[in-house]
Amino acid sequence: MTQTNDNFSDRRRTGKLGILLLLTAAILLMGGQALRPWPAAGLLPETQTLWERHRERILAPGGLVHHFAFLRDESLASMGQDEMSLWKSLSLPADASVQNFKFVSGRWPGKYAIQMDRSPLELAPPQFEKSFTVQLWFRHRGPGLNPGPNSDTDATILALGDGVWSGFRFWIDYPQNILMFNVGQPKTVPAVTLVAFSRLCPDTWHHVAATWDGKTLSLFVDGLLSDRTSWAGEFHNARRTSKLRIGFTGNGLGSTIQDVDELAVYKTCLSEDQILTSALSGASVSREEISQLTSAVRNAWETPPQGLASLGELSSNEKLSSEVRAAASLRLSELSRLNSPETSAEFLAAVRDASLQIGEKSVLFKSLERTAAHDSICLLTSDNIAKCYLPPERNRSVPSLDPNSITSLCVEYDQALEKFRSEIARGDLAEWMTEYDQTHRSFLKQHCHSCHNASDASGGLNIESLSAGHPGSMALDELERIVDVLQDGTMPPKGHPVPENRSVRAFTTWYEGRPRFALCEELATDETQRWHEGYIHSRRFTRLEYRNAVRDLLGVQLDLVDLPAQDGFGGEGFDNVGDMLFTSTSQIEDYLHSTSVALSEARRNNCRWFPDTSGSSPPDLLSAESLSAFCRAAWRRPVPVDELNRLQMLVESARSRGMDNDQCINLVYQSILMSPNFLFIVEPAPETQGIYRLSPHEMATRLSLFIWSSIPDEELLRLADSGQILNSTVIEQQIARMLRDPRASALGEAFGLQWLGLLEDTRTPDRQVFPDFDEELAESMREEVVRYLTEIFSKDRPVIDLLDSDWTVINARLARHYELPDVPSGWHEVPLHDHHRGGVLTMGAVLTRTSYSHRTSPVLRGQWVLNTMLGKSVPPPPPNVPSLDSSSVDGDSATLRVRLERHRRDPACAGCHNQMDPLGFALENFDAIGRWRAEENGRPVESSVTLLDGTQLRDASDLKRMLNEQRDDFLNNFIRKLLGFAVGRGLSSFDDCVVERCVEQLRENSFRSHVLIREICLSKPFQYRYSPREASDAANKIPAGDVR
Amino acid sequence: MKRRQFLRGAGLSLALPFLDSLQHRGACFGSQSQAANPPLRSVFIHFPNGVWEADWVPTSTGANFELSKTLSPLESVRSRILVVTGLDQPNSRGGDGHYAKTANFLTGMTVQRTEGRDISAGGISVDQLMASKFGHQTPISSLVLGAEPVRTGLDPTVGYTKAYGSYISWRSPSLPATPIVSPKAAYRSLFGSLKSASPQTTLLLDHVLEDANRIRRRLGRDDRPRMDEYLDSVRAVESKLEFLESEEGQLRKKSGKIIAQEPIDPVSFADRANVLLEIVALAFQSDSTRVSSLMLGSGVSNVNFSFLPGVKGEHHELSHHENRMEKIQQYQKINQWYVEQFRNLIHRLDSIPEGDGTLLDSCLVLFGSGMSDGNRHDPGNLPILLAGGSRANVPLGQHMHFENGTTPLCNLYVSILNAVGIPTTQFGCSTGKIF
Repeated sequence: MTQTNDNFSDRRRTGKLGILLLLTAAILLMGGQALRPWPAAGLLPETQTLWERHRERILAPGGLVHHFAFLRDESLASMGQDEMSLWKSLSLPADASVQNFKFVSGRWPGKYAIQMDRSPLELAPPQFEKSFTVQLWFRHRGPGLNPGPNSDTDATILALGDGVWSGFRFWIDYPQNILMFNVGQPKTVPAVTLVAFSRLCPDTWHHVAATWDGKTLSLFVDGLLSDRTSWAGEFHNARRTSKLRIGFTGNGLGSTIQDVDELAVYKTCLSEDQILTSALSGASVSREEISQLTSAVRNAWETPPQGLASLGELSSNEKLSSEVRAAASLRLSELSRLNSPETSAEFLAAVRDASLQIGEKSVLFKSLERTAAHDSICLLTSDNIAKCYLPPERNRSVPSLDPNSITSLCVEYDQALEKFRSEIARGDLAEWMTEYDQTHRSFLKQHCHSCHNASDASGGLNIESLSAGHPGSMALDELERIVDVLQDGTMPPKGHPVPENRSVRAFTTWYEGRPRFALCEELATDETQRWHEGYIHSRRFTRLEYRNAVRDLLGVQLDLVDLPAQDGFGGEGFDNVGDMLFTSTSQIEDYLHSTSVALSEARRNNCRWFPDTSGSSPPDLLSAESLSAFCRAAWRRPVPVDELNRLQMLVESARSRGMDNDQCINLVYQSILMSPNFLFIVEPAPETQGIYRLSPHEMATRLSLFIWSSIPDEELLRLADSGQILNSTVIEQQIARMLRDPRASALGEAFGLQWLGLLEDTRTPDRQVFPDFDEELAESMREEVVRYLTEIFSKDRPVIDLLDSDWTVINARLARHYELPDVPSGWHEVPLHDHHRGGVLTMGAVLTRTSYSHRTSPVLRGQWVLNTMLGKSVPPPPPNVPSLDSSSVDGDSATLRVRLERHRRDPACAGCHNQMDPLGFALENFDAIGRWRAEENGRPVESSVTLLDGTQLRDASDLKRMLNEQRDDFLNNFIRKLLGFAVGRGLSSFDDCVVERCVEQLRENSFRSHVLIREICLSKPFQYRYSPREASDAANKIPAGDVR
Repeated sequence: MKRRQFLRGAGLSLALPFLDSLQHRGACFGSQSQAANPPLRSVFIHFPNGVWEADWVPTSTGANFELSKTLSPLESVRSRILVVTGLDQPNSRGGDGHYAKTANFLTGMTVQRTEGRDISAGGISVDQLMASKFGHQTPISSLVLGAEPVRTGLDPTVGYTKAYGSYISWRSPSLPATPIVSPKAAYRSLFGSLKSASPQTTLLLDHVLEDANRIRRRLGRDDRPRMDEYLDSVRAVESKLEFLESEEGQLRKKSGKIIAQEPIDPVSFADRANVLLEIVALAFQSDSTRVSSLMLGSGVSNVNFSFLPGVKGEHHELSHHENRMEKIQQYQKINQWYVEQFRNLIHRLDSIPEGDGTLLDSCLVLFGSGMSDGNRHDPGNLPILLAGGSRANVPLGQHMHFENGTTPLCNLYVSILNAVGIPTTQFGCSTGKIF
């Protein structure tokens, strides 16, 4: 029974510690038996008195039905047999307690509480008639992991039955921290509701109680009356099959993170005195004191001015116990704030103070209601001084407050509060990581290490290098993957020992219990900096961007052969990722060549910068004006005087070397185009480290690179000059304009082709097997994809048309190829009447790309669907793939399907092939160049498949329908790809909230594409950057006069 | 084959063959400090997807070894080659099947598994090490070529960016040298500056260098390396121009003895391979550079080899032979075709007189793959061939076999480095030397 230090690590061994201790009515009501003492085990000697006192107060009122407290299980070991059997006779789910809850310290040393979130503690429901009391000691920490179906911020504390149509429930209305109590009423009658008068500070122990004596329903917070209503109706008991639940229930509410210390339920209605007494727990208070206080509170409730006076006396009466005085002054301040208006300056000062105090971990909460009707802000500081601003509409004579200053202060306050919550979360994080090291690391090692280790990291996973990390870190992605494959049984593969269900559940619960960080608002912090280290933003143009920039600036379309070579891909799978855009001499030489070619042609064509100089007064192309204009357009920003001077000095040097006018023009214009100011996207870092917003010109460039893969045009530059480009409305307008512009075809060409993996064309169909396949067809197929995607983006069509649609864009060649009605020359949108074509899956380019040069490959196609459409991947085949047994069946004459079936029978292969192959088989009606076929080699094509979960697909149209029905995976993947393309890097957990918001917006707007583009452009990751710039690097200060 | 037919168009006088200019100036490098010796060059050629070992590894070792089936095209050049088998890449184990075994072919270290961030091949590549030592002695410090464009896309199955399949030359562990994939562009790089170089270009490059410096000062820490690359590259181009303007460069210009013609870019892979090998020979012959690397096909190369009789399919697919004879036969034919390209280069180098021998005597040609069996993706028992370099005392005309798992490929690189005059005892993960 000895208690060692109360260290957290002991308590984390959830499997071994703790069990519910139950005292039941049975003991007490069984005909006057002596009160059983609490088990002596588990109590600290120094808190013995506390316990005793507390127990008396619990038991004194009589009518106790349930009482729950939490002790360590060593106490059970020392219990006698009869006591044990008593507890077992109660209906308690066998494994309810230990697996899903964490033990934390309770209200006094040696006392324990359980921390819960999404898993409720479920108990048999008590039945009441004309009275009840329920009291609970708990501490809440904010909305939990389970958002409710109706409201994602309101959360249940405790409920008997559903609490809406029967029974009752306590819940909290976030973010105002308002405590509510409902008594359920049958349908069509609203539940009886009590609203607590004072707000419930998070992270503080509170006692809440509700009592009913058949006539009056009362709500108490910390022992003091907080709301009351008369109600003499009939109490609707919860069904016997229902439960008394501590924690999440549903019925419109979510879960809260809470620590529950004790629960007591009575059949009788406790008096105000009794409530206050038990709320004061082990304090040594006399009955008189209690009585005085409850009277004063009641008076204050009914007649505030007198009540205030008596409360005031009590709070300053030295003879009373400190607990009673504190309670009195708490209520006093709560009442006071409603009656004594603050001056605006005092109030503002109070908010500012409050923000500062958060940093020192004072307990603060804020109540901010922003409804159409009123704005109110209330603060309760740690010493229970309340300050409150109530708007004049509430009929209080308060000086009006400038709403903007409230807003900005609230923003500051919000940030401080978030930071505070982060710190709590950080503490939780350390605990969470420790739990991994102590419990789950060995579990994973035992079951996974043999295949996933440093020398043989199957599927790229090495258990040894895995460790729990910050929720924003990459380790979490791997852990999530492990949870997924453990849960769906893909791992361990057949033939390997299966881990115990309990351990898997414990691991999963641990993972899901990871501390929540408000990642959306963070973007990056010191801890998670490594996510943003090495993200290169000031990168070179990609090949396509360069081509488009030259086209838009000079009106010259460079040939492929004159462009620099294609670069590699990174991030989410695009070439606009700074990490992969290296610069070698070959690029420089390529640029020298192409700028020279482009300038010559531009001059010959007399583009806007080089108008015809043969007239009477030709413009001076070397004047400051001409150079400045050209430079501004090329460099996408205003050109300060000193840079202009340098250009003119260049001209001078050239002249002094004997170059003529023509050569000077060539030289200086080429140097503008060879400068990294043109070739690179320059985003200089600000002086201070941290998150900062992009400048207007940087923003204009990001927008044009995203939507046009090119430089901003004059209109965007002008809006950047004036700074208006940072305004959300302006951004929305510009997005609409940009999407209508023909340059938006870049979304099809750069994003679309890259996303679908169609950029490479090294694999081409065999000309002997497919003599039909020529350059024209290949070009047409490529163009179809580009135009289709462009159409979806520019005309605001639903993005799910990518999965399946009743239209497409083709030319005559494709009409022939797809056996569709002929179209005139050029490109035309045509309707589709069967479901074979429609969507990208059945486009020629995709079907060709996912085949070998002389035949189809269901495996390649299946893998493509998984990867590209759904964003899933299967690990590569294990080394030493066992060969298909070729002895029984002659290789080629068996159909492809039969041969691949053998792969799927082998357990080592089946895990992944069962996911991939069926998807590809459903597409077998399309040959290796995308033509529809009913037969292959004289046999009818069998495209019908049965998926792992039993779904039957007959052919491609069924496949597309299925994908459309389960479109969440597709949406998530597509949004991630588009966002990854927009920000030019791989995504992290910090971007998850943007993805979620996009999914939401798409759902609410019939999946139309514009809303997606808009959400991305307005999101924080798009508009902000993190700068890791060292503050001490004095040489890097931005020189005055330079433009960012 | 018909290599020459791709070199059409206007002719151009090129730089002097090395020997004459050196005799003028009496300069040389390396340990052979006598005036008249031509410099040693090296080219490293990588071919993808491994080989069918049974037809590659000669059954006997030593000077009287029997050429295996796949190596039979080398009959005519037997005495000029060294066959090395049994070497392995210990740092290629544990990664994926291709990217982790391709990108580090010339570094010998571990390829970082990443989809773009922190890309790394673990170390500098042997050719770039050479370039850093003596690249300044030629207009171009090294010539990095590729027969296929840089692979696009990520491979989420294994978690690597496919670009790893296109880079074997690494200037630093995290900075690949971008290969030139267009023969036209390679030609321009080697010889174009002679046509269009002008004092303008230097002025221009100076100006943009200053632009870059100004920008660099204002960039955040993570962005600066990219600007450094730009600065380095511009400076390298400037150096080339300065070199050509210098006395030695003028000497080279004056007595043009080679006429080389600007190529058009061939469409088929086979033709492109031919032209690139031709360009390597030209680059060495004109002493434009002394070190080169060539990716004769990117990692996971899918080139359609149906142009070979008896082959119907793509390289990577066939390399996954599943131990089926009909696939193995086609795989072997592809291996043999690659060996023929190697032989063609040897012939070409040997047909250029230099000093009192041929260009081949001063060229070390390394030809190999980062894996042996393509089905198993085995980084052991690597197929490696060495040719030329007789002046550097490379032990030619024999087959050296090493016990599997005992000798890293890097040991061969140590030998090669020493052979070209860079005394070193260690490179990559080496544990010694081969010769």
